[in-house]
Amino acid sequence: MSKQIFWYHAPRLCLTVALAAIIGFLVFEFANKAPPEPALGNEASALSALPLVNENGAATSLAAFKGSWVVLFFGYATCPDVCPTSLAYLAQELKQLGSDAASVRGIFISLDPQRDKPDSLGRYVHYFDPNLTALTGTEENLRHLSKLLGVYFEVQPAPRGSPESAYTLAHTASFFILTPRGELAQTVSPPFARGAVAAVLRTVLSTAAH
Amino acid sequence: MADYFKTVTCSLVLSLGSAGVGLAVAPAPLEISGSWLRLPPPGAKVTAGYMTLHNSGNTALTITSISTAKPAHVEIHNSRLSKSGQMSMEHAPAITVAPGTTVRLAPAGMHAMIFDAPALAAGETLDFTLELQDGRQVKGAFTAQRP
Repeated sequence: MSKQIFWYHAPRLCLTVALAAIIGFLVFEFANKAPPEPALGNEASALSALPLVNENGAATSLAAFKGSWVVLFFGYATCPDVCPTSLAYLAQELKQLGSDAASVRGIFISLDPQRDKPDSLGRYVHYFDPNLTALTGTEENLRHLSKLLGVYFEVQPAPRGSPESAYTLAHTASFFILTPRGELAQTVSPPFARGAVAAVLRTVLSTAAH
Repeated sequence: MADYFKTVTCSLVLSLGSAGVGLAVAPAPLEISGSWLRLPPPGAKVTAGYMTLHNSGNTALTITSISTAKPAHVEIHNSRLSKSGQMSMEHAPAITVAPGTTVRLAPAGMHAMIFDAPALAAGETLDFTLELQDGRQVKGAFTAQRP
C-alpha cells in the first residue's frame, strides 16, 4: 500500500475501529447489566425444595404445589391492617376467576414462626377463604426463601409501654405468582386495584393454555 | 350604688359563665362517616378501625388519641408503602385535618389499631371517642364487619 493510499483510507479506518470499540463496549455493558432473570433452573428447584411447615405442622415445601399456579403472600397473623386487607383482597381476586380458580393455589407464608403456630395459621387463612393454605418454617429457611424471591422482612420492636411480644414486622407486601413448575412468573406489588391480580392470573393461565 | 355593683357583677358573672358554657359545648366541626372495624380473624388479638373525617370548620383540627370502651386500647398507626413495595407500620402521634378537607383512615394506610377488641358479631358496634388537641371530643361508633 503506497503512502498516499494509506493516508487516503486512514480516516475511514480510524472511524471503523472506533465504531467497533464503541459497539463492543456497549455489548459488554448490556451483557453485564441485563436485569436478573426470575427464579429459573437451579433457583426454582431451590425455591421448591426449601423445607417449610404446613398448617397441620407437617414438613412440606413448595414442591407439594407443583402442577398448580401459586400465588404467594408473605406476612404475619397479628398484622392488623396490611395482611388481612391483602388476604381479603386475594380471596376476592380468586373468586373473580370462577372455575379457573381451581388451578390456582393461594398461599400465605408467615414470616413470624415465633408467634404463628401451624394450627392457628390454618384457622387464620381459612377465615378469609377456605381454599387458602398457610405455611411457615424455621427462621433460617424463611430467610432463605425470602432471599430467593427478593422478599424483605424485619422485626420492628413494640412501641414503648407495650409488651415486648407486641412487635410488628415490616415486610414486602407483593403477590408472587409461581408457574406450575415452581418458577417465579410475575410479581404484583401494592397498591392493588380491584381486579389487578385476577387480570394477571387470567393472562398467565390463558398464555399457558396455548 | 351597691345595687348597681351587684347588677354589674351579676351580669359579668352571667355573661362570663355563659361564654364559658358556650365554649365548652361548641362541638368541633368534625364529621365522622363510614367508621368500621375489621372483625379480628381467629387468633388475632389486634385489628384495625377505619373512618372518614371531614373538617367543615375554619381551623385545623388535630386528633391526639382515640379511645374505646375498655378493655380495648387504641393507637393511631400508619401503614406506609415504600417505593420497593415494602409495608411498614409506624405509630402516628396525631391526625390533623386541615379546614375544609377530608382525611381517610383506610385499609393499608392510616388506621386506628385496636388491641384486645371485645368480641363482636358482624353488624355490632363499638363506641369510640376522638380526643382533640383543643380538649374537645367527638364521638362515633365502629361497625364490626368481616374483612
